[in-house]
Amino acid sequence: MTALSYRDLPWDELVQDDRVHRTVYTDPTLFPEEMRKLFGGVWTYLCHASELPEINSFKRVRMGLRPLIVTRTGESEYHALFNRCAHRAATVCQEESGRAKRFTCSFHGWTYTNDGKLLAAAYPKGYGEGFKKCDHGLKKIAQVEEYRGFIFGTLNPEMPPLDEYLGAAKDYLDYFIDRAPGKELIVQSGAYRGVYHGNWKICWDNAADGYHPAFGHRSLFEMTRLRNGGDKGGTHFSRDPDDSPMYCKTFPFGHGLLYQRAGMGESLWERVRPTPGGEVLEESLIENVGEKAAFEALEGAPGAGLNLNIFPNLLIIGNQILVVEPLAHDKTQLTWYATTLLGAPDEVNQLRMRIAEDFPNFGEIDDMESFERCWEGLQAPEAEWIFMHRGLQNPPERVEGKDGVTKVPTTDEAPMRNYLAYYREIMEKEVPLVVA
Amino acid sequence: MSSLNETSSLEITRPRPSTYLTDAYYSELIAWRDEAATYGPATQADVVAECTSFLNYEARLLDTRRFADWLDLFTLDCVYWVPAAPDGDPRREVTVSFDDHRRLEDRIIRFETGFAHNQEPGRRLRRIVSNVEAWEADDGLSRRIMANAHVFEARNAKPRSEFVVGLDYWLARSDESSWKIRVKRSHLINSQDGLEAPTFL
Repeated sequence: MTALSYRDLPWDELVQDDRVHRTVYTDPTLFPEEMRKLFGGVWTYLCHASELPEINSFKRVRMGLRPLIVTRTGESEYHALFNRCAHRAATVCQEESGRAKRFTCSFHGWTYTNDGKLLAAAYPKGYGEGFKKCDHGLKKIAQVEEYRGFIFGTLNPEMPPLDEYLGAAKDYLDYFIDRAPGKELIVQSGAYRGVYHGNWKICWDNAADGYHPAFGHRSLFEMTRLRNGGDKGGTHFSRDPDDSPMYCKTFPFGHGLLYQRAGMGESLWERVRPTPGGEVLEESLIENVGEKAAFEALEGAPGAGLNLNIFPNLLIIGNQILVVEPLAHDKTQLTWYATTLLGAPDEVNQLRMRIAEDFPNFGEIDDMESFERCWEGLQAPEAEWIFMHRGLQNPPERVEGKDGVTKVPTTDEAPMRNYLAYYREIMEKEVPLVVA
Repeated sequence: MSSLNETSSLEITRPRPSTYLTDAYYSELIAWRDEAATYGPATQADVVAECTSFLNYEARLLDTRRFADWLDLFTLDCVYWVPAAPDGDPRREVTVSFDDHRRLEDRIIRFETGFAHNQEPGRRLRRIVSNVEAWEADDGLSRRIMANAHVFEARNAKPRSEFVVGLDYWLARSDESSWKIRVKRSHLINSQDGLEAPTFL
């Protein structure tokens, strides 16, 4: 019999080793559960510390569907407050970001400090003497932790520390960050946002997928071949990627990696497609610092050659931070934050802007089209399964000295199996969610 | 009678070096953008009429997917600019698109490969352009046009996309009687929201 709701099957049948049931994507009643238990039940990326550059900075974000305000109250003191008045639920902050010591609800005037305490309720005598302000602060995310600027939160007191959650995936996050001469990433350059009609997990299925580029991005590779030839663009995917030095890895807690860098030769800068202003900036840099230093610095302009996926919502791709923001079971926003490198020459950071615009305009749009085609195909209830068994017949190579990390060929679907196994683990159990 | 989508194809050439996006060019661009607020009503009726006709022609080229002909409307030192933030400096901030002539050629050639899944099979495009105001500089060498556009894009079996943009053009005189676009800035009213991959705005 055809299962029409995810409730028709136990979790170990919905997500199997080799396949996943369509209702895990299509059932609209599963979505609120995911947004509650996953986004918040595990460490969820909130924002970057450099987006809160001063004390009293704030930024609005979402954790699943929960509207939050992340605030900074000290040198490295962050709070993630529910953007929800404790009185009748109106949001108390409308600006996307800025500086504020207090947030006042525009509905009845309740005012809160930026660490969430209720400062005053208007006309207090109407509440009588039993009213305690300390009972009516903004709810907040109990655990907020930072790793090298990346701020995460969880409502689940049983989660291991963030450091353990990121585990060996930190090696690649470090590699991404350490491309900055000052060893810090700066996220103050705006964002490009795309949206597609389809479930958010379709994007995750693709997040470390080395199988699709030659087909999904054929227009981009073909254009690059016609125009530029040589090794520009994505030529490292044009032959069987499993015969290249590229690889994928899987990590505990659902994280994954597609390491393109190994197949991209010596210089990343040489492989960049022609970029608006590229020649001008290269020349200016050579003039300022000399040829040798210029070309060293220019290596910091393009993407790092990795797709690193930190479950459930943070992808490192190109020279950007991509945040997956599910809006509904059938609608997903992808927010590409541009980043700059602390200590890099202005020319390099300027180039990063124009390079950041390349893939969303020339590559991701075809990915989003593929995701929407999957979504349309998923509307056939009787075709129940999505397959992810490519490479399953081969025992994965364990990475020595890294607990639970495996290394697989580029087109292996192990990263998809890996995140869905962890997804299932969370979804099939009760997860304690505690607000402060 | 012709079909809805005409074609015009771009000759595939090795790209020319792009040497004009200098710091001075960016500075000039930002100054030009910020000057918009100083413009009063457009009073040169002939300029407004000519520019309206120009915009309608441009809209028709885009709507019938004659992208190569559309690109012919641009100078070789052009910028097609779709900001992500209203007041950002594109030297320090990412945009939706900040294309020089070469990147515009790349886009059009990508469409023409036939493998641009996002464009296949044939997106249908239509746009309504209105609120046209236009001014010619005293020296007669440049014009500015501001207008609004409501752009529709339809695909098979997919929801229709709509985009609302404020348009701002810098035209440069090409010869006695014709003009080319040096800058086209298309400012989406919801540039901070998730976009459904617009073709050209």
